[in-house]
Amino acid sequence: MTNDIRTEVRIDAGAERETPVTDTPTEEQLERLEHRMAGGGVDVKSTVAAAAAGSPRRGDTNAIALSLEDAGVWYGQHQAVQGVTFDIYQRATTALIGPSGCGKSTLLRCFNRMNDLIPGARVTGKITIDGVDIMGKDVDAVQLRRHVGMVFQKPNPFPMSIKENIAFGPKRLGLAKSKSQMEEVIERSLRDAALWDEVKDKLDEPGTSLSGGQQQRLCIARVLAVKPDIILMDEPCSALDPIATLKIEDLMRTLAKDYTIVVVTHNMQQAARVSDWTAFLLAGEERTGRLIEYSPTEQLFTNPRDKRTEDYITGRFG
Amino acid sequence: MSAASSWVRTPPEGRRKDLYQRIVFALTLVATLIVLAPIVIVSAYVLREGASAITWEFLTDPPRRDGAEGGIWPVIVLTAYSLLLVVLMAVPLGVGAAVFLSEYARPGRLLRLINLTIINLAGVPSIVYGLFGAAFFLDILGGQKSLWVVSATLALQALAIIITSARESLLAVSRGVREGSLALGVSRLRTTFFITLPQALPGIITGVLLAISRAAGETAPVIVVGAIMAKNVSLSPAAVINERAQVLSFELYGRIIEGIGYPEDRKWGIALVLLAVVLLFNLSALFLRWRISRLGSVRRN
Repeated sequence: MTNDIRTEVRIDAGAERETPVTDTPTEEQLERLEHRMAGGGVDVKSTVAAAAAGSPRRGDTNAIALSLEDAGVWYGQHQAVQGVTFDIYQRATTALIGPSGCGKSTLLRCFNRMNDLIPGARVTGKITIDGVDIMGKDVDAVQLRRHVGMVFQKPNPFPMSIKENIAFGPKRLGLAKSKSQMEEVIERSLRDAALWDEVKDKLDEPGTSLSGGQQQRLCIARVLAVKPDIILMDEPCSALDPIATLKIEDLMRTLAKDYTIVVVTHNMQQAARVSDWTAFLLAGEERTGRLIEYSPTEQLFTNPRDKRTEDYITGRFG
Repeated sequence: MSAASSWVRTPPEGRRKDLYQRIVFALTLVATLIVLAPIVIVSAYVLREGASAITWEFLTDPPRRDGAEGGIWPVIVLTAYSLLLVVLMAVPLGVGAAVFLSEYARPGRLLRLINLTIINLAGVPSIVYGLFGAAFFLDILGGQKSLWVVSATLALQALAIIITSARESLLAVSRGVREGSLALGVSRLRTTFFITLPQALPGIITGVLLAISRAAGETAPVIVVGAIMAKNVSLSPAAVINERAQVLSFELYGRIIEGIGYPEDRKWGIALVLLAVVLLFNLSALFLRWRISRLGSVRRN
């Protein structure tokens, strides 16, 4: 698309103009934030240890949400991802980490077939949910996306009111039968996204009038409203300030009790804080991403099996 | 670091840069004024010369004595019919084509060629459209010289502008919101209708306005497909098929080349009415645009 750059610029200008407020953290969040700023979380190993102490790692290795078998992605003649095989577990958070261009976002976009929308993109191998190959010809990508929700790098609320942002999915998909049912869905989704208290008095105001962090939680609420099983998050905090990031991370921990979350992040600290399992991807000279290591987060950060993982998490490259 | 007093003040060369800035900005202001001036002068002149011709009789009476007396009521009504018909024909087609080109067509050499062709169509002289309209609607389809043929010819010309501008506004809708909708499991068609099109609508309306205003002023093509001067005819909507076209642009043109004998102020009066009709179309579209943007941010059901 030729207009991408222009559009991006416009969004940026708009975001700057329309975000007069910032998220207000709770006392407890502020404390953690100060601790983090003071250097408490600089060392990934201590972060992962602290996170593990706070909440036990999840991920029942018997309950597989999504399974990859030799998955690969081609963009025309270029192979962006090659030979990825691993299982993502239910009701746990799995982080995909790796340096820029390692194919982690590309891989994530296979899980809800967003790559279908890119001309020339082709996915190889097998990606299964409940034993069904989602790349199969009989699988409807539109139906799939309803069960595998996605949160994007840049908050992308629709140009409508807060209420309508949430109602959009259920309405278009015919999920809420009556008006009262819809109200219920709206409140539940906003509560689950930890946004209700901040917006309950201004549900009719435009979604774009919220702060960046609130917009991102609105986008999460929007996804929750269609009741997905799996939620994909593509660097959900990269456009947010530390306070908003903290709120989203807390939300991710809460949501992982009920949902399977797969998050792409370039921030190792974040992976260490929020995820139960971590997959490390790396691309070589030919810019083809491969899975280097997949382990429980604590193990990957404290006792990596692969030398390259060790190099990456200790900051030797990337 | 040196004391602030030494570096916060503008150095001499900086002051010179400041002067350059002022000069350049002043020049852009002058350019704006030069552009604005003709618009204001033309409008004021037409208003001054034509105002005296504008009477209740001039606006609402049929013409008498070959239009030298009486009013131009049939011309006004048939102009409105013809422009509405242009909107009805060109907007659904044009926006439909733009949706296809921007949302569904596979990018590639063929698409680029099609887009380029459409942009070039906007630059084809209007007389060529007239010639085509006469050949196609009258000779090939065997239509009678009538209002709908004039409208169809003008609609063809309007299509190029409408498609190009609608396509641009559709493409300008951020990929983010489209993907947001698609990622919820909403189909591409519904995403187009409920997310992309509403957001592109202000831009689409602007394009339509431009195209219709241009159509209102066209003279050459309407002559070729058989417009006539003011004449008293039935003004029921059936006139679209039964009557030959009477449009303000051609009425004005005809009166001008008629030369002496036609009252000067009546010519200006026709020009004034033409301006007013175009202005009315513009204002109603602006109103529509405003309503939509208001709905867009607060309520839409």
